[in-house]
Amino acid sequence: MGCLIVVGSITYAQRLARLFSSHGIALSVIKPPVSLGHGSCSYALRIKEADLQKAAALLSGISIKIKGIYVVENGKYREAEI
Amino acid sequence: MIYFDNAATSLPKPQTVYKAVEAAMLTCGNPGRSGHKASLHAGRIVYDCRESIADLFGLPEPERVIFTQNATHALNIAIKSQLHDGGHAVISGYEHNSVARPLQMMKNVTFTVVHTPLFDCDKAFEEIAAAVKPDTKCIISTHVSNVFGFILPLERLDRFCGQKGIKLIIDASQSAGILPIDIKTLPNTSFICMPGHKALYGPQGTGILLCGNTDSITSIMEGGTGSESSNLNQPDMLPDMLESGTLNVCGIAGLLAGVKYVSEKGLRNIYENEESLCQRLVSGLYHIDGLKAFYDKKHHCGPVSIVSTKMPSEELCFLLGEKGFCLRGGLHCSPLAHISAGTQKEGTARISFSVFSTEKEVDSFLEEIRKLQKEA
Repeated sequence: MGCLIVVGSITYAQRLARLFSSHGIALSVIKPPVSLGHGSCSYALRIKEADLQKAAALLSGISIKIKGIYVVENGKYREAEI
Repeated sequence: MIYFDNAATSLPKPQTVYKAVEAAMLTCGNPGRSGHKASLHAGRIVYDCRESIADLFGLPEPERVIFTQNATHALNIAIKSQLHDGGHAVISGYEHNSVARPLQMMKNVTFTVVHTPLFDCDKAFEEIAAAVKPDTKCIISTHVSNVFGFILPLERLDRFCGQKGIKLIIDASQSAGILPIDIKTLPNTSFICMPGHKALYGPQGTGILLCGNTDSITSIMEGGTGSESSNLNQPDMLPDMLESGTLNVCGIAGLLAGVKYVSEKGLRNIYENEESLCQRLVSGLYHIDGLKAFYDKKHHCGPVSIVSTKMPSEELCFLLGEKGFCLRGGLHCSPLAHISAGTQKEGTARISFSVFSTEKEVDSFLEEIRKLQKEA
């Protein structure tokens, strides 16, 4: 299982990637399905579910609009509970 | 060849810049468009460059660093954002045509050019302040004159803008990479515009717009951004709002190497080295008959302009060019600066150094110009 944190642009994704990496969170930058980006092209950070709470705490201190946070299970997506 | 035209574009660049451009050409996809390795790699380089620039200029949010084609492009966005619904602007008497022409083109905008004596900071501040009217929306000032190297009093202008509730737009074309600029100390500055290819040592075709304290931001070109694709309206988030179309990734990769070079070298070292060459140059020119150099070390950074009583500036540059020296003559796209300094009739010959310029090159130049003046 993993989690996707969806943002609106590659710049936001790279900014978050830098922030998460500096706090020891392993991640990949990916293109999420259009449906997760509210019908638009987006980028997402894929992280382990175990790191989700730590990531969420970091997000609260940064002024980046998050489009959604999802848990990926068997190729399906559901909104994460934080 | 001895290259003294670094105010137009720096040459040579650091070796790391050439290598970075080549590496980017060989490895980079289109940033912010796809999810494969080549695209993500390009996206990382672009973001690294954005972050390095944000660090250098004290900008807390890297997304407020916008990549443009050049400083002129950045100034067009800044001016057309700040004055998109009309109004009045006050500009210094040392502005480049990249400020004056966009203003002249805008039908609902009026502007006042404030001509003040060269190297007189107090006068420049006082007269610019006095030209502000009730409908003035912004002051636009170069940080350093591209003709004379005159440093304008930006901090005072920024504070004054705060008192008046208006904004300052800064053209940092000649100062970025030489003088410290910290946008946190300029709270009333809406935009700072600069080239990437001069003292930041990036390739030509790179420019930067720093978005400071402003919500008044308007795109002058719309299109694909790789974001919000299902919406036909231009995205309102930065940098996407102002960066439609494929970015100049190879140029930005080179610019990143240039910015790292400048940061490692240190602005103070760069400034002191170049000013020391300027002082050597001006001291040498002082002893040559029929030459006048415009220089005041208290308020100077970058280019030194000279005039000869024996020949026009273009002829002087041509003859020096025959001997292997590259410098620029004429009006330098800044007729306003020449009106302010009284050199509009003949223009000036401009000498501008970089971190790669040497005392030996300055001495060779002095020897050659001495001969030319003697023979004329």
